[in-house]
Parts: sequence; C-alpha cells; structure tokens
Amino acid sequence: MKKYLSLVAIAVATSVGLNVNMKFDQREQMGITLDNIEALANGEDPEKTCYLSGSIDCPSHPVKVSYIW
Amino acid sequence: MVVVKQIIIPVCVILLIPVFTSCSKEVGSNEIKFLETISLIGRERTILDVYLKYPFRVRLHDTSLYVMDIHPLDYYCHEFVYPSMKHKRSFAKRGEGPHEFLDAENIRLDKQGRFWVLDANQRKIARFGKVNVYAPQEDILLDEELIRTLDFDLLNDSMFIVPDYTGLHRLSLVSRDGRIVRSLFNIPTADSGGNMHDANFPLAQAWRSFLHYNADHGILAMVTQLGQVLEIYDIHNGRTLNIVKPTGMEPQFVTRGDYAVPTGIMGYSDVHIGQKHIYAIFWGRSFDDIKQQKEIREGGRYIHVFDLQGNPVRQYVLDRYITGFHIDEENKRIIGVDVNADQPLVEYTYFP
Repeated sequence: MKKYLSLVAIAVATSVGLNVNMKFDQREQMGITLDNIEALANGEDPEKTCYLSGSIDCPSHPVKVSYIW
Repeated sequence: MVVVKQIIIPVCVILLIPVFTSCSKEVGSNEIKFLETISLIGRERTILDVYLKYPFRVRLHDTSLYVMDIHPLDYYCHEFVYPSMKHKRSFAKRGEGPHEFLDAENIRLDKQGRFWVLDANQRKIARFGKVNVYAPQEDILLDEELIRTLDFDLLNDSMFIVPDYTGLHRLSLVSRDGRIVRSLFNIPTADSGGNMHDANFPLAQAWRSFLHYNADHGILAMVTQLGQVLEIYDIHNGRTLNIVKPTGMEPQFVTRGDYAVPTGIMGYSDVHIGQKHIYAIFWGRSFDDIKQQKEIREGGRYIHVFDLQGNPVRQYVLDRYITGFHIDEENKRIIGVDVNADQPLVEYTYFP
C-alpha cells in the first residue's frame, strides 16, 4: 500500500509541476511578445492598453489590435 | 481490481488535469439553435502580385474583386481581375500627405460600380473613380458630432448610414456633405432599458458593430464585434424588426476611464443581408484565451444564417478562419479572406 501511495504522490507532484511550468512558459513568452508589440501598437501611449495586430479599434490610440487590457 | 479503482483511475484523472486546463475553447456557436449545420471545404485562389497583411473586407463587382487590408504596407485597397486574380490597381495609399489615408474601415460599391472607402482616423468617406487611382474624386468630411465612424453603407444616392459612437443612438443618417440628417434607435442593452440621455462612450465602444443595408427591401442588419447580438431594422419605416440576443451574450466589458475593455467573447466580424437571408461571420473566441494566446488565429469559421425576421436557419462551418466575406447569393458562393494564411483568398460553394 505504501508503494502505491508513493506512486500517487509522485504522479501528483509531476502533474502539478508540469502544469505550473507550462503556465510559466506561456506567461514568459507572452510577456516578451507583448513588450515588443505594445510598443508598436501604442507608440508613446503611457497607458499601454492595446496589444497585438487585430481588428478591434483601440480606444486610446488609432490602431487596430487583437485585444485591450 | 482494487488497484485499478483506488490507484490507477485517480492517477489518470490527475495526469489529465493539465490537458484540460490548457485547452482553449470556442464558445457560442451552440448558443443559438440552428436547424442544420453544414461543413464547407474551401478552394484557395492565388494572389501573386500583392502581399496582403490583414485583409478584412472583400467585395466582388462584375469581374473586379476589391480587397481592403487594415494593416497594409503601402495601400489599403487593391483591385484584382476576377477570377484570374491578376492585380489591376492599388489605391488609398497609407500616409499623412494630401489624398493619403490613415485608416480604412470598410469599402462599398454603389450601383454605378463606384468605389467608396471610410477613413475613421481622418473622419472622411472618399470616392474613387475607375481611372485615376492617386486621388479620390470626392472627399466627404464627416460631422464632428459623429466622433468616430467605424462603419458605413450607402443608403441611397444622397445619404450614408453609419453606426453611432456616442451611445445616444444606434444609427445615424448622413448627407453627402457629411452632416447628420437623422439619428435612429438606441443601443439595445438590457442595462439602460433602451433609453439613453447622456453620452456613453464606453457603452458605444463595447457595442461597436458591423452593418449592411439592402436597398431592395430597406432592411439593415447589424452585428456586434463583442458578444453575440444581431439587430435587424426596417429603415424605410423606422422600426426595429428583431434583436437576436441569446441570454448572457450582450457585449461584456469593464469601463476604464473613457473606454471599454472587452471581457467576454469576440463575436461577429462581418455581415451581409441578401434578398431572403442574413449571413454573419462568428468567431466565438473568449478574450481570456486570446490574452493567454491559447488561440492565435484571427477570424471565425462559423457563418450564421438567419431569415430576415432573425430566425436562425443554418450554420456553415468552414475549414478556414475568415475575417470578412462577400456573399454571392445568385451563384451560392462565399468569397472569404483568411489572414492566417499566406494565400488569404478562399472560396466556398454553399448549399442548399
């Protein structure tokens, strides 16, 4: 029984670690992309509200973006 | 057996958690119950001479196909010979000089085949002739009270119809010299009860819509970019025919200062009203997924079809994600633009 409990514990730890790692990578990649694109989308806009090229009208700057934040 | 129940099944469930939590989802295609769903396979048409970065609108008139790009390198609009796709001309040059454009929101062709383009950033509607492509033949400066005009259609030879951006109304009729002649209807949001007395810019931004008017029967169809709302107005008689708004599918947003931040889903991106049916491209993509880049493709692969009263008829599911389309009811043909592909022009034959 102890052997099985150990297996479950390892599986849980691996699963949680994998999930957290995936989310971290996504955020890290997205952060780099957004830093680059927001400069393009917003020019000198200090509010930095509009991200990526898209079809939504950015209310703070005359560009079309993928989303507003 | 005990091992399977107590150990293996829980372990499998735990291992599947990351798979489910990382999946993106398209929502909304089942919010409205269509009588039938039909899958369509597209046929690509090759464009050799012009690079289109983000084609957003496409119009076919006789043997001329017009494509509008909202993120162009040089020109917002291009004309091709159809169906060979040989490049004919490019116009509406991007720039800040005389006769140049800072933006293009939509293109229209009138009954004479003359070409119109809306530049929201310069608050103007321009008309190009068939020969001179360098300068518009007509530049119409729009009324300052319109604030920002993000779509337009030709009501008749002397008037345009545009969506309202103040939140006070839904539509405005504009004369050929750019003045507001009349404003119609209200934003059909449940929050206000349909009565607007003060300007509400965030609300108007969140309800940003695409419209199409059919002069043959005088009906206008309008779809929201956020959420999932279809509005049908009888312009001739000044009455609302239907507001198709599934529960909870109004544009969702939070107000930050003077603007709206979308929080729900990306909805429609183009609409066409034909003789008996209304067609609309639906994305159904949540902004959470877009922000997290779970779904990086732009466009929708659903075409919702309604009758002129707003009853759902059928849904087409495409093999490509498109942002804009041309509907040719006579030949049962859809010409779409797919910004995710190197060759963006894709054609479908639909039935019944």
